[in-house]
Amino acid sequence: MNDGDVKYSGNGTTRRDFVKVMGVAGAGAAAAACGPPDTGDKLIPYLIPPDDIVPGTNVSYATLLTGAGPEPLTVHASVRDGRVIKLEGNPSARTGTALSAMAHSALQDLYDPDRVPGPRQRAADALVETTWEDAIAAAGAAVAGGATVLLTPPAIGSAARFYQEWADAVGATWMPWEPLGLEALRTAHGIAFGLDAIPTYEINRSDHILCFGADFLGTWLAPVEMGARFAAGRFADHGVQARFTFVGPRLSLSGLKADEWLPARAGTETLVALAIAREVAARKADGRAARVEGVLAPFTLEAVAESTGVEAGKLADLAEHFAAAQAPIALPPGIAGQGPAATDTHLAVILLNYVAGAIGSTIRFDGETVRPRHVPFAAMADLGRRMSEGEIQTVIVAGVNPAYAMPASLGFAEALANVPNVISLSPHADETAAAADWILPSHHELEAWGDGMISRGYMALAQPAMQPVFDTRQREDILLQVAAVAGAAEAFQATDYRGYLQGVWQDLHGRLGAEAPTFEDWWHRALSEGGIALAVPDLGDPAPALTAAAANYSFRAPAAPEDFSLVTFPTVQFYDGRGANRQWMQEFPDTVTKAVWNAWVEIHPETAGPLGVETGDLVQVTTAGGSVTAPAYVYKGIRPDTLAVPLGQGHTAYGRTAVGRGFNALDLLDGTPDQRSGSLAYSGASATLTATGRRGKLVIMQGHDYDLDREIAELINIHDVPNAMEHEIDLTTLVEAAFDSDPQSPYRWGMSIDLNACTGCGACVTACYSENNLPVVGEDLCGQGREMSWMQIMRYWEETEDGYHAVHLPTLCQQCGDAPCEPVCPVYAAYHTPEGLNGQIYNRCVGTRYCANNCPYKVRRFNWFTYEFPYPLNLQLNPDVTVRSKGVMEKCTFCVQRINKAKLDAKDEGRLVADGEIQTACMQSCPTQAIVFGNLKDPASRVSRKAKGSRGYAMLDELNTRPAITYLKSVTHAALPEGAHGTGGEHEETAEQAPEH
Amino acid sequence: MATAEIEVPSEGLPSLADANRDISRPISTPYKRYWLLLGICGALIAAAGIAWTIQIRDGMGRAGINNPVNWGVYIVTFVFWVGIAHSGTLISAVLYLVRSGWRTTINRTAEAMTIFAVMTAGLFPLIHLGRVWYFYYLVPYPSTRLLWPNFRSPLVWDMFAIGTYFTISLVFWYLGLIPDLAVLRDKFTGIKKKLYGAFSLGWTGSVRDWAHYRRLYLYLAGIATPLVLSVHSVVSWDFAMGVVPGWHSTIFAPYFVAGAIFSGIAMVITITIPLRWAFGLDKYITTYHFDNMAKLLLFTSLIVGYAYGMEYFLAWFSADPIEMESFRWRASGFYRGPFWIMVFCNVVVPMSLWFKRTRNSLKALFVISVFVNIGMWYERFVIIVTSLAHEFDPSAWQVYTPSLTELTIMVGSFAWFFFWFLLFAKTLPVISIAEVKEHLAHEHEHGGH
Amino acid sequence: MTLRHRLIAAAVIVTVGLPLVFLGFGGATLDASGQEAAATGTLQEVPVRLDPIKERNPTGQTADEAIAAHEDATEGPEQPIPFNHRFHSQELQMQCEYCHGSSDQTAIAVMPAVDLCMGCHRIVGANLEPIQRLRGFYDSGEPVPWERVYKVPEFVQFPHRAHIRSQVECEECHGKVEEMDRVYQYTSLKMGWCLDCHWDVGEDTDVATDRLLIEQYPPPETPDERQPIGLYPRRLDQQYGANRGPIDCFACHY
Repeated sequence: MNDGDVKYSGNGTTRRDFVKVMGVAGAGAAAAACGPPDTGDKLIPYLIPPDDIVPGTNVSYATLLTGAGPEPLTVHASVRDGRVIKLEGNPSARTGTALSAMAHSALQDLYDPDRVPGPRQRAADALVETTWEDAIAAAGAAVAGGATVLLTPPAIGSAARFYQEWADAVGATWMPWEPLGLEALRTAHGIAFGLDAIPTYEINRSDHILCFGADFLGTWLAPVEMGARFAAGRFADHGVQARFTFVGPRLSLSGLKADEWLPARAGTETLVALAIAREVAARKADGRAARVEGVLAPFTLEAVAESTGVEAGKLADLAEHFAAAQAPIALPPGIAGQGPAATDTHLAVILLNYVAGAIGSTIRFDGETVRPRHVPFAAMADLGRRMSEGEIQTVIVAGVNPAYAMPASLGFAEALANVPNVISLSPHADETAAAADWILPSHHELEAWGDGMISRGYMALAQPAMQPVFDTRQREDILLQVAAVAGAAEAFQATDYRGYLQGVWQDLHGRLGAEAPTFEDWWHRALSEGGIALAVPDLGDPAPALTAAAANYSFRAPAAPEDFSLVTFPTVQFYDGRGANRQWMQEFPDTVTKAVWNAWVEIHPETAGPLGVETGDLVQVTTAGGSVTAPAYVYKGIRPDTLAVPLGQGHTAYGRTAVGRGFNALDLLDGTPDQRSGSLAYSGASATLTATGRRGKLVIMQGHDYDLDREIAELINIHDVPNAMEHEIDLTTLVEAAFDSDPQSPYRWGMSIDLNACTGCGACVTACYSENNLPVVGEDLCGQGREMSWMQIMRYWEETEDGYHAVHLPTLCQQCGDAPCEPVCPVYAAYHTPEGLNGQIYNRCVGTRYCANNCPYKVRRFNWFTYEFPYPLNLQLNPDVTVRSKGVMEKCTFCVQRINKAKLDAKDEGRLVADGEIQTACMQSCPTQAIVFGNLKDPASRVSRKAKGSRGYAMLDELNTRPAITYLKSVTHAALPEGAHGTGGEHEETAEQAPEH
Repeated sequence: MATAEIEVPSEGLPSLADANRDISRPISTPYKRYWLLLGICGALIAAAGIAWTIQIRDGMGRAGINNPVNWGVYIVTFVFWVGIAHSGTLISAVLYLVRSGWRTTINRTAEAMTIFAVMTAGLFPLIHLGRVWYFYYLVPYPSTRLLWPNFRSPLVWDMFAIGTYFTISLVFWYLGLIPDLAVLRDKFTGIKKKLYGAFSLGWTGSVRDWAHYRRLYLYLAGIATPLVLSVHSVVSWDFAMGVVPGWHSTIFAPYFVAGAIFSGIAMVITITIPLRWAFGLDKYITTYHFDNMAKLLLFTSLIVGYAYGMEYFLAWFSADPIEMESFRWRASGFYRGPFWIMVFCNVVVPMSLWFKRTRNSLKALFVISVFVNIGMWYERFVIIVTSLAHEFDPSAWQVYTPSLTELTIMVGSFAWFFFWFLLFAKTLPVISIAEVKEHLAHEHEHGGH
Repeated sequence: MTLRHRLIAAAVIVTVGLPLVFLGFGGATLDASGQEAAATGTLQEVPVRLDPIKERNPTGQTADEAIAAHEDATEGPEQPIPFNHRFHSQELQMQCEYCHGSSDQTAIAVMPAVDLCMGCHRIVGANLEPIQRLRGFYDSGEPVPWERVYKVPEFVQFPHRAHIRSQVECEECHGKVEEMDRVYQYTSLKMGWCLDCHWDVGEDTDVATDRLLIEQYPPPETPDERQPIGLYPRRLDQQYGANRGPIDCFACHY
C-alpha cells in the first residue's frame, strides 16, 4: 500500500539496511514467518533509526522501470521494512497509478530465486563461484585486449552518454539493441518526412481508428498510455465512440476490441492501406491528395481485393467511413505485422494518414513520445557473422539476451561460442549468460541508480528502492571498474555511477538559469517526485511536409506464400521473452486464448477441421527456418491460410520457471531482414502444417466461450445505449436491503467495471497477485481447475450480424448483498460485514467448500495444498495480508486491508473516508480506469454515479444476489442480431424468471 | 401379535428348541473363511487409513476435486451410506407398527446394518473437511471466542439429524437384543456367560419383563418412525438449499427418502442371501420374506423412476435456460455414462420384479439388488457432480475425475462396514430368536391354515 | 396460628423475598445504567494524551541490583542484554514512549534502536558488563536480537495504533511493565481475551464512531477542508453512549 508520503534515498541506502530491519514487522506480519533470514522469535530493531521511517508502515520510493515492456514507466515502489512489496504507477505520471502486468511482475524478476547470486566463472562446462576482484580483473584484461562489443538495451539519458563514453574510453563498440524495436517505423518516417522520430498517436481524439496490426493495447509502443487514450475516446454513454477497424491476418488483444475486422492476408496490409488511401484521396481531392496521386494510382480496390483476400465492397465501405471521419487515424503494423517489407507497410500507412489529414492532427511529431534509438536487427545479424569469423575478441552483454532473442537459424549462439571472452552482466542466468565465460551479475532495476528521458522534456530518475537481494553490483559501476582495470580510469571523474549520474544532473541543473533552486533541493525533489520536467526549446513541426521520395515511392508487391503464412506475435505476459521467468506471468491466462504456462499454434477452424485437429492436439509447423511441434489452439480470429505462434517461451536457460515451457517461435524464422530498415520479419514466412495425431497438453483457463445469453457478458450496439435501461441497478434497494450492510454504517463498498473500457491487458490480475499474496500453482494444478487467482478476465464471444465480438469480463467476488455463500457456511467463516462485504475468515474456515459450490460466480478459491514461496520470493509477501495455508477457502476481499487502513486514517482526522481515497489494487493499476471502487451509500461517489448509468447491469441478476459490482455493458458499432443483449426483447422474460423482482 | 392374516408356509416348521440352536449356532468358533474375510476387510481399512493420513498431511489436493466441483466421491459415498442406513429403521419400526409379520426374521440384520452404515457415513463429513483437525468448530459448545455454529447451514442440521438417528437406532437395536442375549447367557458358560449376562440386564423373561419390554419397544418404534423421513430429508437439503441448478429443487426430500429406502432394502437383500446360505437359516428366512422385500424394492424403484422423470419435467417446465442446459448436459454430456448406468440399474432392472419367478429366485434377486446398490451410488454421483460441473458461469465449467486416494477411501468404507457386520454375525444372533419363537409358537398352535 | 406456623411463614418470606428484593435492585441498577448509556451528548474535545504520566515511586534499586533482578527473574525469556524495565521506569522515571515511540502510528510495537540506548549508555553505566556487551553490538554494527515476548498469531492483524489512539493504556495489555525486572507475557492474547473488551455492552465503536462523525463532521467537500482532531472521538460512553471495540471479524482477520 502507498502511504502517500514519498521518500528519497538521500545519502545512500544505509537507512534501508536490508538484513537489519528484516523481521521488525513483528505483530501480524505474515512474511516474517518464512524464509531466511528468519527472525522467528527475535525482535530485530534498527541499529540507527531512519529519521523518516516508521517501522511497520509502507514507504514509497519513486523510481523508473525501463525493462517492463515497450514503454518506460515511472513507479512508486512500496517498501515495507526494507523490501519492496508492491509497485504502483507514479500518480504524477501521465498514466497515473496505472501499470502493466509486466511492470507489476518486475517484482518477481527482482526476487527471482534463480538470479545469479554472485560473480561466476566458467570452469570446464560449469559456472563456478569466483570473487568480484578476479572477475573484474579478468574482464578488464579482456577489454584491454581490444575488439570489444558492448551490448545493452537502448537508453536515453545519462546511461546512453555513459555507455558511449565508456566505449570510446576503452576503444569498444556500443550496440544498444531492442529485439522488438521500432526501426521500420523510424526508417519509414525518415523516407516520408526526413525525420528520425516516433510521433505521438492521439487516438483519444480520433473518431475512427484504423489499425493495421499494431497491438497498441498490449505490446506496441506504449500500451499503458495508449490504453488510457483508447478509453478516453469512448464516450459510449453520450452515444459517441470511435469506430475501430482492425486490418490483419490475426485478431490480437487489441483486435478483440475492434468493431469490424478485415482479415487481410499477412503482408498485404500495405495494399489495403494504399487502396484506402487512394479512395480517401479521391474523395478529398485536395493538395495532399494531388501529391500522392501518382503513387496510389495502381492500387484500385478491385486490384487489391484479390491479393489481400478482402472483398472490394468492404474496403469501399471502410474507405467511405474513413474519409468521412472528423479525426481519422491509421495505426501502423506492430510486431505481428512486421513482414519482409515492413518499411513499405509503414510507409503505406503514413501515406494514408497523410491523405486523410491525420498527420499533424491525431498524429503529432511535436508530441511527448520519445524512444531511444538502437541498432537494427540486421546489425546484430552482421555482428553474429563477424563473431563467427573471429573478428570479435570480447563481447560484454548487459541486459539483453541475444542468444535467445535472435532466430536460431542465424546461429548467433554458436557464433558467441566462437568469441574468446564472453562477459555477461545479466542479473539472470539466461541463455546468453549460460554461454558466457564470466558472469558479473548486475543489480535489478529496483536496486540500481539510473535515469531516462521517458517523454519529451521529462527526465525520470531511478533510485534503489532496497538493498540488493544478492551479491550484485550496479551495471555501470561494474563497467567503470572494468574500465579502470583496462587502464581507462582517467576517462571518468566519477568513481561510481551515482556520482556520474549526479554529474550529468549538475549539467542539467546548470542550464536552469539563475532563479533555479540549489542543486541539492532540485535533486531531492527529482528523487521524491521521480523526475524533473525540463524546458524543451523546440518541439518541431507537428505536421512536416511529405518528401518527394515518399511521393514517388515504388511499393513492392508482397510475395504470396505458397502454403500457410506464419505470424509470430509478442504477448502481454512474456513480451519478447523477458517475462518468462515470472510465475505470475506464466500463470496469467493469455487474454486471447486463455492458455497458461505454454506456447501454442493458432489455427482457424476451417483449417483445423479437415485435418481433424482440435485444441490441444499436437501439430507440426515447418518453415524455411525450422520446425516445431506444439499444441494447436483452434481460433476463429485468424485467417484460414495463416498460422500464429506467440513469442517468448521455449527458454533453455533463464531459471526454473522459464526453462522447457512451450517452444521458441524464433526457431521458425529464417532471419530475413526488411531490406530498407533492417528489421526482422516477424510475419509473412511461408509455413506448412501437419497434424501429428497425438494429443498434447495445453491448459485453457476457460470452460466455454459463450455466455449462452445468461446476462454474464453483455454487448450492445451504440444506438441502443440510451434505451438499454432494463438492467439498471436500483441503488436504493441495493443499499437499504436488509442485510446488504449495517444501516448504522455509513459505508457499503461497491465497484463498477466498464466492459467497454476493459481491454483484458491483465494489469489488475497481476496487481492482485502482488497485493494479496496469491500463490502460483503451476500448469498441472491449473489444468485441474485449482488456480488461485482471485480475479480472472473471462473472454466471451458475442455474435454480431457479420461475425463476432469479444467481451472481456474481469470476474472477482461480487460481494453480494444477499450472498449464497454466507448461509451455507457451518462455522461463520463466510459472513456479512457491517459494510456489506462478504467476509472470509481464514482461521475460522474448516474447509467444507460448500460456499464455493454455492457461489454462482465461481470466484472462491480453495487451498488444495500449502503453496511455497521459495526464497527470496517470500520477501515480496505483503505483511498486511495473511498467507493462507492448506484446507482454507479464500477469495477477493475488496482489499479490506486498504479499507481498514483508510478508515483508521480518516478517524485520525475525524472524518469519513473520502470518495476515491480507497483504491483496490486492481482499480489502481487499470490503464483504462475501467474499474471504479467506492461507497455505494454516498450517492455522489463515482461508483454510485457509474452504477446508475444506463449501461449498468448485475451479473446473473435473476438470482437476486444483489452484487456490489455493477458491470457496464460493452458497446460496439457492429450490428447485433435481433433479440441479442441490450436490445430489449428478452428482458421481459428474464424479469419473469427472477421471482424476487 | 395379530399374525393370523399373514400367510406363512407351515410345513416343516422347526421346533422352538431348534430355533434356539439353529439361530445361535453361528455364535461359535469361526471357520478359516471367516478369518480370511475379516483379514481382507482389515487390510482395506488400513489402506484407506493410510490414504486419509496422506491427504491430511498434503491437503485436499490429494482428492480429485477442484473448483467448481468441490464435492466428489466423499460426499457421494456419504449420501450412499446414509441411504443404506434407512432400511433398518423402516423394517424394524415402521413395519413393526403396521404389524407386518414378515419383518421378524430380517429386522435384526437390518438394524445392525443401520448402525454400521451410519458409523460409516459419519466418517465422510470428516474425511472431506479441508482442516479436519478443526472439526469441532461445527459442534455447538460455549467457546471463549463466543462463537457458535451457523444454525442456518444445512451442514449443521445434518450433524444433528444423523446424530439423533444413530442414537435412536442404537437404543432400538439393543433393546431388541436383550431377550436374545438372555438366551445366549443361558447357552454359554464362563466368561461368555458373564458378558452376555451383563448385557442382558438380568432379563428373566417374566411376564412383567415382557410387558415393559413390549411397551418400550412400541414407544421407540414410534419415536424412530419419523426419523425415516427426517434424516434423509435433511441430507437432501444439503443440496436443495443451494442455488446450484440441478440441486435447487423442492422434490429432493421425498425423492431422497424413497431412494434411501430403495437402496436400504437392496442392501438388506444383498446381505441376507449370503448370510442365509452361510448360516443355514433357510428355515427361518424363506422366499416368503424375500418376496415381500422384492415387492418393496419394486415399489420404491417406481417412485425413484418417477422422481427422475419429474426432475426433467420441472427443468422443462421452469423454462429456465440454465436449468434446462444443466439437465440436457447431465444426460448427454461428459457424465452421460454414470447417468445411464443410474437409469438402467435403478429403473430398468427392477422392472423384472413384476414377475413372481424373479422375486422367488434368490440368485436373480441377489444380482438385481447388487445392480440397485451400484445404481444408487451413481445416482448420488450424478446429482452431486454433474450439477456442480455445469453451473451458472460457462467459463468456469470443469469436469472432475476421482483420484486414487478417493477411491481407496471409498473401498475402505465398504470394508469398514462389512468388518463390523462380520463381527456382529459371529457374536450376536442375526435373527431375533424371541420374535421367531413367538411366531413359531403361534404357528404350532394353529398348525397353519 | 401457632408459633410454628409463624416461624415457617417468616422463613418462607425471607428465603423467597430477599432474592426478589435483590433482583429488584439489580434490575433497577441495570435500568439506571441503561438510561445513562442511552444519554448521548455532543462531542467535547477531550484532552489528547498519548503518554499517560503514571505515579512513579523509586524503590532505591541500584543498577547492579537491577541487572541481578533481571537475571534472577523466573518469568519471561531472558534477554541478550539484562534490560530491567522496573529500573528504567521507576528509578530513572522514563516514560514508555521515550523508547517505544511512534507505536501510535503503526501496527507493530516499535523496538528502540540500539542507537537510542547508546544515546545514554555511551557515558551512563559504561563500566557495567552488560552495557559493554551492548556497546559491542553497536560497534560491530549488529542490532540486539531481543527475545520476543508477545507474538500475535499471523492470521490476526493487530494495530497498536488504533488501540493507543482509543486511549487503551499500555498496561491494560502489557501489565505493569514498570514493576517487571524481566518482561513476561502478562495477557493470554487469546481471542476470548480480546473479546473481553471488544464484546462489551453497547454498540460497536467502529460503527458508532462513524455515525458520530457524520453528525459532528459532515464529509468535507474537498480534502483540504479536513480538520484533524488528533484522535478518535474518544470515550464514546461519555459522549455518545455505549462503547466497545469492533466485533466485526474482518476488523482483525484478513
